[in-house]
This record gives sequence, structure tokens and C-alpha cells, in this order.
Amino acid sequence: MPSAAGPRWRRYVSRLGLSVLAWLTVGVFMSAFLWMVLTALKTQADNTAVPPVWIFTPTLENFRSVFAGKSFGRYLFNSLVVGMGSTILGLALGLPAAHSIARHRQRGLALAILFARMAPFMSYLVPWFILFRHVGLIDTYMGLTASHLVISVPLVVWLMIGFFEDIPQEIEEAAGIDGCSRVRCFLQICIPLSRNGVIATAVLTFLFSWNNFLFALILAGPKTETVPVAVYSFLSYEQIDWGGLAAAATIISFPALVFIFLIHKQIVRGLTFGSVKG
Amino acid sequence: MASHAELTARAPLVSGRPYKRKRDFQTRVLFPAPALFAIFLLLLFPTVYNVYMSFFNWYIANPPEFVGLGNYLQMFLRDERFWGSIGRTAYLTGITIPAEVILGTAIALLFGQRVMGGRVLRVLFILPMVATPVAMALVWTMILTPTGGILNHLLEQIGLAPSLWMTHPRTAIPSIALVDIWQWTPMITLIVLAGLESLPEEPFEAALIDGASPLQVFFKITLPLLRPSLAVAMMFRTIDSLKTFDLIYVMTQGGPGTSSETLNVYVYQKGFNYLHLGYSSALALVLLGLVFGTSLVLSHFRERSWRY
Amino acid sequence: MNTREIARLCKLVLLGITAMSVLWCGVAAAGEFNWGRLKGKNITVRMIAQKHPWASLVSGWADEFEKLTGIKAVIESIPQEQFNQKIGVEVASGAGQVDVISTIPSQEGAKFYLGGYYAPLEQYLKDPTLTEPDYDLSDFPNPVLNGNKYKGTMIAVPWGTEVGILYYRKDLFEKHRVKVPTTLSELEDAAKKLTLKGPDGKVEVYGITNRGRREALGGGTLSAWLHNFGGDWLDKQGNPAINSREAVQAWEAYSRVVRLYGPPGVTGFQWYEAGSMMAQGRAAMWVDSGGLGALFLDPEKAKVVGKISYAKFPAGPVRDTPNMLIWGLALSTFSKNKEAAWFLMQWLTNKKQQLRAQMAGGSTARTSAWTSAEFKAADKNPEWTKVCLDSMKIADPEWLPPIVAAIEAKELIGGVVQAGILGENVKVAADKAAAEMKVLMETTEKKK
Repeated sequence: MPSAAGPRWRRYVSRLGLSVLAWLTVGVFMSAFLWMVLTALKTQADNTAVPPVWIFTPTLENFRSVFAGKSFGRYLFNSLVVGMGSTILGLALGLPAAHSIARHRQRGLALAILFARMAPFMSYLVPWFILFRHVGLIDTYMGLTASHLVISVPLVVWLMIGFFEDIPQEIEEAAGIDGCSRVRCFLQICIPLSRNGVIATAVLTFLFSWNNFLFALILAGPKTETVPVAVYSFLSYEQIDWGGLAAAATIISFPALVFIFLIHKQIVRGLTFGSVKG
Repeated sequence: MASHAELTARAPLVSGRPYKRKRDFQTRVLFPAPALFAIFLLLLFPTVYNVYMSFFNWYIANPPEFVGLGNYLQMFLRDERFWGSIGRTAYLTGITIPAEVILGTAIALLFGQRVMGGRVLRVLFILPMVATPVAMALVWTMILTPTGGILNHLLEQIGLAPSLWMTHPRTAIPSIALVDIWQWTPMITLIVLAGLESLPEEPFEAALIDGASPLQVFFKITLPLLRPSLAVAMMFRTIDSLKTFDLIYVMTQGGPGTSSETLNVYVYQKGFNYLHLGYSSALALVLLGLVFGTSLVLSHFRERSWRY
Repeated sequence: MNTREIARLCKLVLLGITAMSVLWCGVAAAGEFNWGRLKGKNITVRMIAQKHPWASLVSGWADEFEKLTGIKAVIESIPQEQFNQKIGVEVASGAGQVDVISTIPSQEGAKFYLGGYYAPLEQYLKDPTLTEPDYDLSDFPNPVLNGNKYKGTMIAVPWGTEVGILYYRKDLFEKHRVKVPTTLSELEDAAKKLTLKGPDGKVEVYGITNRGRREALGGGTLSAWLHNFGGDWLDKQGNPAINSREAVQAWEAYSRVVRLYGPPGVTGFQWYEAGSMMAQGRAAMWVDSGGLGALFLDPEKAKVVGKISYAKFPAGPVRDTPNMLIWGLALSTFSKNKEAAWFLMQWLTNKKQQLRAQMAGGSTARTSAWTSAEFKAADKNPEWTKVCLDSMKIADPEWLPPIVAAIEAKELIGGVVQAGILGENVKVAADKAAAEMKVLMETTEKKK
């Protein structure tokens, strides 16, 4: 938007003021994370002190205890396996579907898949549990990953439609005339051209799987319990361990942090693409 | 970027050539088929099963007993807790969505003013929505603890009255709403920002020349132009808000009493805690109907058609 | 020797051999119990336990059990909130993944036994080839055994008891010269006197701390309040009596004490939040299960080590019966290794292992464990032991309504008390809850 007219210094001051306001706003939103990390670094005594202690000697004891007591490493591994499985499967199923919808403007199909995104999953959990049991899929990676598909496929489709629409149709037509089969053309042209979108979609799909709590709560068992369910059981039979909880929360949120900083541009584009018209 | 209209205008028409038709079949049908099949499998069978089970009274200690529409009659006519949960669902969604939209848009406008370090701000601002909800709900539970929590302590320091947050029926849902708003306002902001950045310059320049005030510019030009993006964002957020579970389960389990028990949580309690399976299937179907009904209503209100 | 003597000798020897072989056969026929009977069959037994210090303790004994029996034991602890849901859905689908369940029979026993999930255990207890001769059922006090039965059928073997007691800060009581309460009205007085304010007028120490969450209240001392005021869960016709005059008095008393002298936000307290208040020195009294005393013994976690004393739960105007909650181990009817599972169950609850648990600070189920010389010698907390033992003699194990949908009822009743804590009308809430409970019972009790 063009800026208003006026003396340069006035414009600079107003810009400064707005920047400060913006930073304060973000600061308020970030304060929860800040508090989480601080609490994770404090001892139990410091954490329960009244009034709260602001200057303290940090300790890594809480992080150590998270990994020591429980089989936290295995939970992280499980989350990783399920996350990657659901992302890969979601991409495998969703990318072709998104492409088809983008190319052929299949509105009805899009609606059908997007309705899945809207479904309240609670409504399916009891039947899923009973059905999965009969097929022996409880507490298996396959079962849990399959359930995540109901989130990842619609997500992939929703995010990738925009990216695929961006590819001019002539490129595909030209390749087709050159004798490239649809499938090859898809794999060797469309995907590389929308590489940024695919990456962003993959990351977001992985993150949503990683964050998922409800499905693991019901469908996972001791072998496949994922991190969100494990951290909830941190409320142990002893006192509430604020430091330990905060440390666990920090560790769990870590992938999100890392991914965001690495690929934020694509993520923003992907997230907003589905809702902004060209 | 080229608009969709331009692209399709330039694309060659689908002709009757057999080779092309075969290739089209591949992409039109075969490409989406696996995805459709997977979703069909995962969602349709359970719905049918739910419908079937909802006609039985199956409490775990007894064998299932056919009651026809008995569960539904009980639900609509005698179950106060059910109606309460509908009201609470509406209440929670009713405070979070407007708050997120207004706050999100305001912040987007702020960020859009070519703020210094704007890029870093946007990256940081994504964090609340991608952090694990369960973990952050636990963190917020600690922050909002009435005795010993940091927020009450800060409120007292600045002279405001501390609140009982999640431990009092009147403030239970607002506490959950607070965390939900914290988590999802960034999404609205990002969507609006992207929308703002793709707006054409001409209307604004014209307005400036005409001497319009910033407020007039906002309400008469910016807002109407943003309407489509906002509408989609609002729709998705509303549907997701009806399905809120993680936050409520971790922070209050629907308590104190049932003051924060939405329909979603009630389905969980009946099905997985009390093991009243037939009844919970009936509740689950009502929840399904509520969500779909809402999405139909909302998409009807949207002016422009879906981008699809 | 002459022939007659040889013949006599031979007869004696023959007699001796016959006698010995009869004896030996007799012993074999009586069936010898052998821990190693299932060795070599490579069986794994899975046990699910609600989170509890005892569960953590015994999961470390799995290796020992394996050495003894050749059976691999996998013991998993899950939080209380999720336990009901996990087991419940297992029952719904008849899977055989779990063999042994650490359970509270008075809470979920009826439901799961009637649902066909908990197996009756008489056949195992009576079989000498399956149960060690030293198991001795009579070593469990009668209330404890009854707490593991449903209408006379043994559905679990006991491993733990939790009797409600009063924890109090003896230093504060001494300093302010307050008498340790022996009745509920004295409790209220003491709570009032020991609400201590700091120099800035803000409360530093609350008179009492307690559970306040709807689903947690039932698991505390609630039934003791009810019984001590003369109330009961069901009346003589089997209808809910939670809104009787006595019951309402009990709910009002509990909620009043907590509302006036408890910390704000108490309606969000589970037992760990409540206990945490005490451990941080912010409360003068706490009534709850005796098994939670370990909270105050660790100097790293508690600021009040050495300052806590124990007393019997205060009597009421009508009765003097502390509440008691009993834990046991149940066997899944869907288990594919029932014998091996039974081995684990009886091993964990036999005299030797119960004594070990008792020595490690637990509150076990066997009289022998509590009264043994070893325990007495090693008892670091004899005051607590005495209070628990005395309370157990007069305790009432009916801490929940004896109905199938006990858990739902527990939450309904918790809701009534919670309403009281929040200042609402208790009678109105109790009437409503009683009506709901009646509907609940109609839909869930077996119609036979």
C-alpha cells in the first residue's frame, strides 16, 4: 500500500512506533514459549517458589529426567515413524488427486475430499477401534498411520491444488506431445516444478501427524505410543513436576521450531495458498 | 502470477482424439482414485457402524439390547447434559472465532505496515499454530494455575484481580478460549497478510487522491477486498473449533462439573469413559450432523464460489 | 540269621518300600506346586496397572519372576484417567492382549466382571497344582477379601489397601496450640484457626487442602464423610440415597470446610495438586488416602519433611468409619495364558512379595506384612503404621455406591460436592444428582 505523504522524519517515527507495537504483540504471543523454556531450566525448588524467581542458576536436570525415567526415546521414535509414514502415504495418495483436481477442475471431488478434513474424528473412534481390533491393527504402526491418512490426504490435496494450478498447462501438453506418459509427466515435470509446495506440504503434514493426540490416545498401545500421549502421562503419582513437564513440552515442540525456521517461506505460501485467489 | 482465467483460456480444448481421452482417463480417474478409496474406507464404514450401533443400548456390563430410536429420544428429550454440551460448543466457538478474526486482521494490518524486521516477526508468529497442542495446553495449564501460576501473579503485580481460570465454571470456557485464541490467531493473520499483499494498488491510490481517511480506506476498500480470504479462513476455523478436543481434555476434562464439556468431549466421556457404547454412537452421529450442517450453512454464506 | 528272621526282614523291607511308594504317590497325587512348571514354554504375560508407586516398584521385579518361573512379565503403568478408557475398549472388542489388570474392584469390578472380562478366581485358588500351598487366603483381613469379591465371587486377589487418614503439620498445631481434631466439627475449627495470614494480609498457610475435581472427589475421603454423618449410598430399597438429610449434611460439611479454608482453585485439584500444597508448606491439614504419605518424605520434593504427623480420620456425629480403598489383581477372561498370568498374580500377592512391598513403604493387603517383625524393625514411620492399622480395623470398604455404573455415579456425586465448594445450593444439586443416578441405574443395572 502506498504510504501517506508527509515529512520524512514523521514517516520514520510512525514506522518506528508501529514496529515497536508489532514486536510487543509478537512478544506477548511468544511469552508462553519463553516461560516454558525458563521453567524447564529451573529446579523444582525454584519453580515452586512464591513469589516467582527470575534470576536463577539454570539446570539441565529436568531434561535429563525426561529421558531417564520413561522410555521417552522410544516415544520420539514412534512419533517419527508414524509422522513419516503418514506424510509419505499422504503425499502418494494426495498429490495425484490434487493434480487431477487442478487440471480438470473437479469441484465435486475436491468437495468430497475436503469434507473428510471437516469430519469430527471423535465420531469415528469407537468404530475404528473395534474394526481395527478385528483386523489386528491396534498398537501397530500401520494402523496408526492409516488413521492419520484421514488428516494427511485432505491436507495434501488442499495445499497442493494451488501449487499445481500454477503450472501452465502448456508445459504438460508439450511434454505429452513429446511422448511422455501422464504418469511420467506428472513425476518428472509437475512435481519438480512445484517442489517448494511439495516440501511445505510434506513438512506441514508431518507436523500435524506429530502433534496428533486423539488417535494415538485410542489406537496406540505400549509399542506405538507417541509423544503427545506420553507427555500427558507425565502427571505422575508424585508431585506435579513442573520442570519435567516444561522440559517435555519443550522437547516435543522442538521439531516444529526447527522446521519453521528452515522452511518458513514455503509454509506461509502453502498455508495461505488454499484461501487466496490469484 | 497468471490468473486462472488466463491459463484456462490458453489451454487447448479437450478434443475427441482417442489418445488424449485415454490419457485424460488416467489422470481424471486413476489419479484421484486411491485417495478417494482410502478416505471412503476410513470414513464410510465407521459411519455405517455408528448408525447401526446407535439403535442399541449397549452398556459394557450387559449385552447389547435393541432400542430403536430410544437413544435419540433419550438424548433430545431427557438428556440435559446433551443440550448443555451443545450450548457450550456454541459458546466456545462463538467467542473464539470473532476474537481470532478481529485480532488476526488487526495484527495483519500492523505487520503489513512495512514493519522493521517484519520477516522475522512473521516466522516467529507461526510458532503457536504448529507447536504441539497437548504440550502447549499443559504449559498454559501451569501458567493459569490460580495459586502459584505466573499469570495470576503478574495480574496481582499490576493491580488487577486474579482469576480462578480453569477451576471455576464461569471462567472455564473463557480460559480454554484464551489458549485457543493464542494458538490460532496467527493463522488468520497469515492468511490476511497474504491477502493484503496481493491486493491491487489502484483503489488505494485513488482513495488517497480523493483524500479518504485511513478508517474509510479500511472499511470501504480493504475489508471488502479481503472478504474472500477471510471467509474461507473463518469457515475452516469454525469447523475446527467445533472439533476442539486436545485443549479441553488436557486443561479441564470438561470440568469443573460439566461447565466446559462440549459435544465432542461428551461423546468421548460416554464412549470411552463410561463405556455406554450405543448411546455414544448416537451422540457421535449428532456431532457429525452438527459439523456438516454448519459447514453447509457457512459455505452458503460465502459470496464467491470455492476456489476448489 | 535264620530263615524266619530273614523272612521277617524281607517283609519289613517290602512294607517299608510299599509305604514309601504310597507316600510318594500320595504326594504326587496331591499335586506338587512347582513355580517352574511353565518354564521353557516362552510365555509372556502382560499386566496393565493404574499408575501407583506399587506398580512402579513391582515392575522392577519382573526379571526375578522370570528367573523363577521362566515366564516373561511385562508391566505397564497408565494414568488413572486413561485406564478406564483403555480397559473398557479392550472389553468391547474381546482382544486378548492384556492378561493381568491391576484394578480397584469396588470401582470397576462389577462392570468388568459382568461384562465378562474379569475371570472368577476360585478355580485357581482351589487348585493345589496352580496355587502355592503357602498362599494362605486367611492372611488377608476379611474386609480386604470382601473388597475383592462381587456377590461372593472372588474377582481379584488383593495387593494394596488405602485407608483415609488425616495428615497434619504438627509444628503448626503445637505453635498455635490447637488440638488435633478427632471429630469433623473439630476439623473445621482447626482449619479456621490454622488459616495463617502473612504480614501483608495474604493467606500464607491454608487451614486445609483437599481434592476438588469432580472425578477426583470420590476417590478421596468422601465416603468417610458420608458414613460418619450417618448417610449411605443406597437406601434399603436400593434407590440412591445421596440426597438424604444425612448425605446432604455430609456434602455441606465437606464443601464448607474446603470453600472457607481451602486454597482458591481447589476445584481443579486432583490428589497430587492437593498433596503438593501440603508438601510445599501451604496447608496445615489434608485428609486423603494413607498411601500417599511418600509425598512428604523426600526432601528434594517436599519442604515439610519431618513436620508431618498422622491421625485417624475424624469421627462424625453418627459413626466413626474411615474409608478404605482396596486394590487387587484381576485376570482377563480373554487371556491366552491364564495359568501363567495366575502365577504372576499370586507371586505378586504372596507373603514374601507383599512383605517386600510393605518394607519399601507400601500399604499392602496382608496382615502378616504389617505385623511382621522385619517390618516393625525397619519401620521408619511407626506413627503412620499405627494410624493405618488402627483405621483399617474399623474402616468401611464401601467407598463407592455398590452399583455397576460406579464410575459415573462417582462423578455425579463429585459434582454435588463441587457445587457446594463453589457456593451453590447443595440440596438442590444432590436432588438432581439422585434423580440422574436413578436413571443411570435403570439403564445399566442387569434387569434379571
